[in-house]
Amino acid sequence: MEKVLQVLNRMQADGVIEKFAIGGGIATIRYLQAYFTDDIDIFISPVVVAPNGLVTFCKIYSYLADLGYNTEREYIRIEEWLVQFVPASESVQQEAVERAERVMFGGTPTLIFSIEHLAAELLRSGRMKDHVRVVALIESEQMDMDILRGIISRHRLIEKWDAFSARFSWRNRE
Amino acid sequence: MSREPIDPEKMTIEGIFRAKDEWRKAQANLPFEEKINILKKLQALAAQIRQAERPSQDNKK
Repeated sequence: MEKVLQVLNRMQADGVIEKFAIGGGIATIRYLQAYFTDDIDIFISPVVVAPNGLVTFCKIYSYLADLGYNTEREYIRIEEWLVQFVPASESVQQEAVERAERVMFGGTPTLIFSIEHLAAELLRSGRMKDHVRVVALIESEQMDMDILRGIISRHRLIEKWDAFSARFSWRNRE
Repeated sequence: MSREPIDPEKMTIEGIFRAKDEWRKAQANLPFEEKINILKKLQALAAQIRQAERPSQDNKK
C-alpha cells in the first residue's frame, strides 16, 4: 500500500489533486480489527466540475494513465490495489478531508479521516453495515464523543444520529 | 490478553464473550501496517475463492 500512498503524495505535489484523505474501509481498519475490503477510498477536495456540470476525473485519470495505471471497473488499479477517488461533495466529507490526521505508513506520510469524522461519514451514509461500524468505533473507546456530537450538529446529521440511536437503542447505553 | 488454555469445567458465557472482546481489542491495537498485511491475506483468499467458483458458475450457464 505504501506505493499507492507515494503516488498520491506525488499527485498532490504535482497539483493533480489539492487535498485528499483516506476514508472508507481502510480508514476503519486503522481504528478497528482488520476485515475484508476490496479497495482504497480516497476522498478529494475540491470537487472539480466540468463545463457540463458533471464531476470530472479527467486530470486524475490521464495523469495516472501516463504512469501506467489504468481504470478497472469504477476503480483505478495502482500496483496491486484498487483505488477509488471520491469527490468530497458532502460538507462532512469536506471537513473530514480538511481535518484529516497525518500518519506514517512505513516511511511514507499520508492523511486519514479522524475516527470522529469517519464515524460521522458512516452515519451520513447510513447503510446497515455503516451503522454496525459506527457501533464498533464507539465501542473501541478511542472516540471523543463531544467531538462526534459537534460534527453531527455542524453537518445536520442529527436526524441520522437519532435513526442510528433508535436502531441500536444507543440512548440507553450513554 | 490471556492465552491460557480454557478449562471447559469453568467456562461461562460471560467468559466466552469477554475473551472474544479481548481478542477484538488486541487485533484492533495491532500496528496499522500489520492490519493492512492481514487485509492483503484476506484479499488473496477471496481471490482464490472467486477463482475456484468461476468454473462451477460457467457450468450453470
